[in-house]
Amino acid sequence: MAHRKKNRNVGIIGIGQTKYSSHREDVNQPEMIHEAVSAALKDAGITIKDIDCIVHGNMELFEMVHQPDLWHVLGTGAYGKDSIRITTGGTVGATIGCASDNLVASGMYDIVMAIGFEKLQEGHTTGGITNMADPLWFRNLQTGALTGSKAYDVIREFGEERAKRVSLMYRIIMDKHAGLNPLAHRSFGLEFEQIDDLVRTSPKLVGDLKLIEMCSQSDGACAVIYAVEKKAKELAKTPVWVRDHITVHREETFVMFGYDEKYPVPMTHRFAAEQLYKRNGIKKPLEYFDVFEMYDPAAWWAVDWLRDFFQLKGDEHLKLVENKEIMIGGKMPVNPSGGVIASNPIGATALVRIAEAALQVRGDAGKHQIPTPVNHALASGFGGTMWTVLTMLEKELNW
Amino acid sequence: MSLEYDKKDCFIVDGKLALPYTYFAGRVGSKFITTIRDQKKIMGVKCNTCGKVFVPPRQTCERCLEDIRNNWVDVGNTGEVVNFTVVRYNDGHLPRKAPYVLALVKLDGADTPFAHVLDGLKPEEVEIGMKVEAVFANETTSTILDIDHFAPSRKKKVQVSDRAPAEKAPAAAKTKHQPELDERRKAMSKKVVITAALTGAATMKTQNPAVPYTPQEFAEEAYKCYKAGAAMVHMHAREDTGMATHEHARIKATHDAIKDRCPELIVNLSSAVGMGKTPEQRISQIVHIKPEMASLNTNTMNFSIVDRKTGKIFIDFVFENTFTMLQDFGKAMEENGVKPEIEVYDMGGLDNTLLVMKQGFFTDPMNFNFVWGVAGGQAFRPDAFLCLKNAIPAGANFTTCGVGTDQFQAITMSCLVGGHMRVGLEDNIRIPTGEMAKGSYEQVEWAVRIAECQGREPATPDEAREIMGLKKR
Amino acid sequence: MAEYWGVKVEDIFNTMPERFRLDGAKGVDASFGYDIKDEGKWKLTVKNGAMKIEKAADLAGCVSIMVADGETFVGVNTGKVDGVNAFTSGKVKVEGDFSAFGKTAKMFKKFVIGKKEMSTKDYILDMFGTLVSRFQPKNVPDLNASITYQIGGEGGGVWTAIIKDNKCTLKEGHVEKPTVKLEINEAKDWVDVMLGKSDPFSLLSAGKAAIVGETALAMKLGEIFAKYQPPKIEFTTKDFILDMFGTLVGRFQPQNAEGLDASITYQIGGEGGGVWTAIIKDGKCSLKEGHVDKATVKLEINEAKDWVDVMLGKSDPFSLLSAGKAAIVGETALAMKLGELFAKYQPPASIGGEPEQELLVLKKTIAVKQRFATGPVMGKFLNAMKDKKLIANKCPSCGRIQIPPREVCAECRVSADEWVEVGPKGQVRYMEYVYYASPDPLTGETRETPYGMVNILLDGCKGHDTFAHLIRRDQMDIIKNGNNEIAGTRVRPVWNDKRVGSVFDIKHFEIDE
Ligand SMILES: [Zn+2]
Ligand SMILES: [Zn+2]
Ligand SMILES: [Zn+2]
Repeated sequence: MAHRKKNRNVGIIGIGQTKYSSHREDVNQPEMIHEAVSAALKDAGITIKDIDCIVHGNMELFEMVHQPDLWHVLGTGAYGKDSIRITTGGTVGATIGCASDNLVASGMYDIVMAIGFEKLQEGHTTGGITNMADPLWFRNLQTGALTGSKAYDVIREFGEERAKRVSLMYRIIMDKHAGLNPLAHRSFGLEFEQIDDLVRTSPKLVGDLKLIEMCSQSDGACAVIYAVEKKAKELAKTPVWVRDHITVHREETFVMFGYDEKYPVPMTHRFAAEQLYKRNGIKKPLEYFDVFEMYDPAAWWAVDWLRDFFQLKGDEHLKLVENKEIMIGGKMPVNPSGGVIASNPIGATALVRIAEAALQVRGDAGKHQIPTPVNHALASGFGGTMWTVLTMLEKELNW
Repeated sequence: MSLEYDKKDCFIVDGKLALPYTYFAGRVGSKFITTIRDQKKIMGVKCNTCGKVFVPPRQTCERCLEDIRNNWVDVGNTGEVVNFTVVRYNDGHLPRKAPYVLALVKLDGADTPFAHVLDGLKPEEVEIGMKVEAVFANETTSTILDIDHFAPSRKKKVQVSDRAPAEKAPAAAKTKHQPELDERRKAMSKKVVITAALTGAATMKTQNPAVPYTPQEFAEEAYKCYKAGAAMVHMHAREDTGMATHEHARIKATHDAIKDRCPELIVNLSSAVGMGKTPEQRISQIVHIKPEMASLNTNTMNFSIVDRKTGKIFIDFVFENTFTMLQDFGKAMEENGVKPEIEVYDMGGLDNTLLVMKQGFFTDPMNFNFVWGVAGGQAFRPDAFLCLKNAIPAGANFTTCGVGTDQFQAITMSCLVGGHMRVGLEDNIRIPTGEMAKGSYEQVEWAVRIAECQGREPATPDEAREIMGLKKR
Repeated sequence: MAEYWGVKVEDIFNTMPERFRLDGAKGVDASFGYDIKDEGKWKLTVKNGAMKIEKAADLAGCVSIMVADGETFVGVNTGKVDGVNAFTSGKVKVEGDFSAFGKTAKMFKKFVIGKKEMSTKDYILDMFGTLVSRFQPKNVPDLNASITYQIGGEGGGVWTAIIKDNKCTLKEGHVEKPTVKLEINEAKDWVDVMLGKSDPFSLLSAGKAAIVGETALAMKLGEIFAKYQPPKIEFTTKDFILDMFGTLVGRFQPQNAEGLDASITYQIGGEGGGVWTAIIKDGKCSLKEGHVDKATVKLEINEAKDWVDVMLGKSDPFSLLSAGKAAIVGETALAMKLGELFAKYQPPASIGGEPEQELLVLKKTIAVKQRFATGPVMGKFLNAMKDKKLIANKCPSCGRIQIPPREVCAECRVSADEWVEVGPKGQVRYMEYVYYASPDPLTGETRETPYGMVNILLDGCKGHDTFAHLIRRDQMDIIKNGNNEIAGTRVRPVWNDKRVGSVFDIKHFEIDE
């Protein structure tokens, strides 16, 4: 494992989010970003003058504009400041969080603001993703971020009936959480009784992936302010400490289909989690963490990934869902915010996971605050072709 | 170990990236374009913190990161070329066939340059600094091309030189009529105090968009007047809607905004405030705010809005200024350290003052303002002017202002015979060419020229304080 | 006088001055006549960018005269009746210069169904109707006065407010010696003032109003009476649905419908619902109530109110579809194009009291030419396809086979330097059954769905070394996925006759029997 050392402790001191929505015709991109930026500054009780550097990111090509950081200065507040633009696909929100943490931890800057945004209504998401594939042979074949292969895998392993029910169960839990989050884009008021009905009626996208199980396409922005320990303690009532983060990439995996137990595909989620827990001495992640904000682009993936993130065996991950342990009030609440299925402004999405996990640590999540104290929180990012970013947040500086 | 790479296997594959996209202009951007499209008018937004007017408009000021979405200002459709380039290649996305001129145009009311096509002249004829105006598109597309292009301005703009008083101005011409002056006044006789009356109670933005309403607008306008050469501003505060107000808080906010922006400047408040206000409302705000100067009106008179061509009366209003008010207001001002500017609308008003002054509450020197052209007062006539000038007490100062076309005639006369000058949108919305004034400051620029023609120099605010007997700062 | 869709013929004429567009009237200097059966004749005179509409006994001097019955006239003006169809069928005739008459179409903004639109007269009546309730005695204790409003022009009248004993009463007409009298020449100017679009000083300065009597009292009117608030008008779901379909033909975008021949049925349930079909052919759109035979696509919306939310931008169609509140039957791809075929629905300005701001939306397809260099490894692979060969490279360390080939094995970080020929036949390991239409990046056009993308384990490959391609459309439903234990369907490539070194030198794979 690569060497990693923090020179200084870093705390999150400000969080700002817009309402997530499919219709923001009333604002352009910088105007929407400014909503999140001013909310974060207000939350931190500081002004733009206090920010030393701005880290700005979203998906390439999704709005069909280039170098948006240039004209977004109007909303980001980067005028006359150091500013960095990062774009790493779906993980970009998590990556700008990591970069901000690194910039402060290294001693480069004392206060850094990470800003993720997306205005998906302006471009064509699936079209944009299609263009990321190798133009010489795969661009005309692949199906964007939509794939039924994970559904196929889960169905094959656990049987059609159980698999389909558990996926929708996860989906309905997310909908119930979204109902408690006023910023969430989609909340339908779904009930568990509707599972059988939705299995039958929800339109299919690809294979057994149904429309209801897929994440939304949202407009929105999120800003998170990172500060060095001394300033974080001065400025914030409850700074949320960034303990560690890890990023794991793998090679292009668009070819990686066709299940074969003899050739297990190295999953970056499982690998990243293993490394992160090992270097932080965490033996039982399911017991250690109090809440998990997961980047869940579709219900099928989400269900399967719980096994990787918490190093579970057999059908333990299905049981977590079936026994509603992932609901607010359960053993391991997952996405009290409603998650990505409810709101997905892609370039902001992974940063929203960090922001929402931090709100849980602060106890400031409002109606979707989990009832038990949150001391340790985990946030994930997912993107590109199976990349993973994990961020660990802590209430106390005592590790 | 490496693969044997064979160059002959390498080739090029043509590709294309074609993706639909939708751009939402947002509220601010939409209003900008729809105003151009439907009203043929260019609007900007102003940041009240840094004072910049942005065109195209945006929701936030990039410098101050403040929400400025509601601070719309009309920047006018004319401006000047601050830079340009000649596009000499053809490409599908370009709005014109090459060669064409792409210019940065700073619109007259804006602080940021704005890129657009400049047409109607040859590329080699373009000059930085040339005046241009927007030509709107016939067929609209709801894009920035609803301004089809900019073209050289057809109106001849009178060039006003930057104010740089001559180092050694010739001494003021002595005339037979010039009375004896005391020593202080002799030294100062070269100096002329220019006052800018930023608003009256009734001139609205619909008549001249530069009329300030908000404290920030007042501050900005006052600052421009100061830079142009004014030593004093006179004002009637307004609400955001433009209505004249007697609210202490609003008047104070406006007064303070001017002083914050421009601490040196003398602020002269009105004790008339607006139509239909009670005597109590009129004087209490002066006592509350204690400006350095305030207007003191000398006679009850008609003060109406009329059609000067047909003689038709639109508003028949009596401006009440009884002896009691003249006396009480005058005393209240002097007791509170506010120097009265005594407003004289006709000979009777001056006589009223000469009578009341016998009570002895006015401090020396007294400062008069001869007002011309009010519907209900007297119109400007040179001999009437001399008559008033000769009747004021020895050692008193006088300035003058005129409504409408009386404005520049009266101030020229005043400057000529040793008095001071007041201009501003309260009195007149135009400049002598008949064009709309871009602001009171443009009239100040004209007043400066008149002074320079006569060998006089604009007084600085501190010099004005010395002349008019105000406390030193 | 008869009403059609709640609109009278005279409403169309009476609103012409408000709907007049200077742009459209440039250079027009003529009179136009309207002869509406059983309703009367009107004469429109346009000159120097100004217009006048008047009821006329005869239409002499008009360059052209439109002849129609009331229903057709109102229908065409409100978008309820297709104007072109009405002309073609003879329901509307134009006598005189036909092309000159065409100019009138550009001269007016669209008439928005007027039942809810407030006229100047409505506003004036509402203002005086609410005047007494807006009286604020605490601002003017013990005031004893009478204020007369003498308002001229369309919708005008005379009213006097009498204030005494801290009470206000309103009387129609004059009183003797009012304390102050406001003379306003045109009612519409006064409405503008009351709605905050204009200010009284501008009227007074322009001579459009005058104050007679105690001016000071007139200046206090803002304190005596609370500000006038126009009534908020609620559109019911049914009103919205009717307005949406009433404006559908007018919102049609022929430039986006080139060559399209289709019918789109909207089957809307719940309160206010109904069935409408838009028929698009030859760049024209017409609307028909009810179903048609074999609609190209049918939108089934369970609840009209959900559809109204979508049209007003409060919700989006995907949410409805996801939640099972709507369904698309037939050509989904066409349903996805509705946003291009019809301009966005704009509710009438009077909804909600204040005009909704027009928000601009720019729709474009960005197209950039690209040139990709194959490099030697991919080039070798693509060139081999010209010879109907599929070649892969093998990792010397882990032994896996990469197809298409890459220079290195990313897992072992070594050069993958051994070339092997694989396939071209193989077995399906996994097929993506794609229902969702994604755009073709080469054209921006939406692809035809469903289609099947197969991951094939070519003969000579193992594990995850699969190769992706398309399957023959008619065989999608009989493809079986395989794995290490169970064999998947055997497939073989179908080669194009002309091969250029592209992955599409293989047209698709098909079942190998
Ligand atoms: Zn600013
Ligand atoms: Zn004044
Ligand atoms: Zn290998």
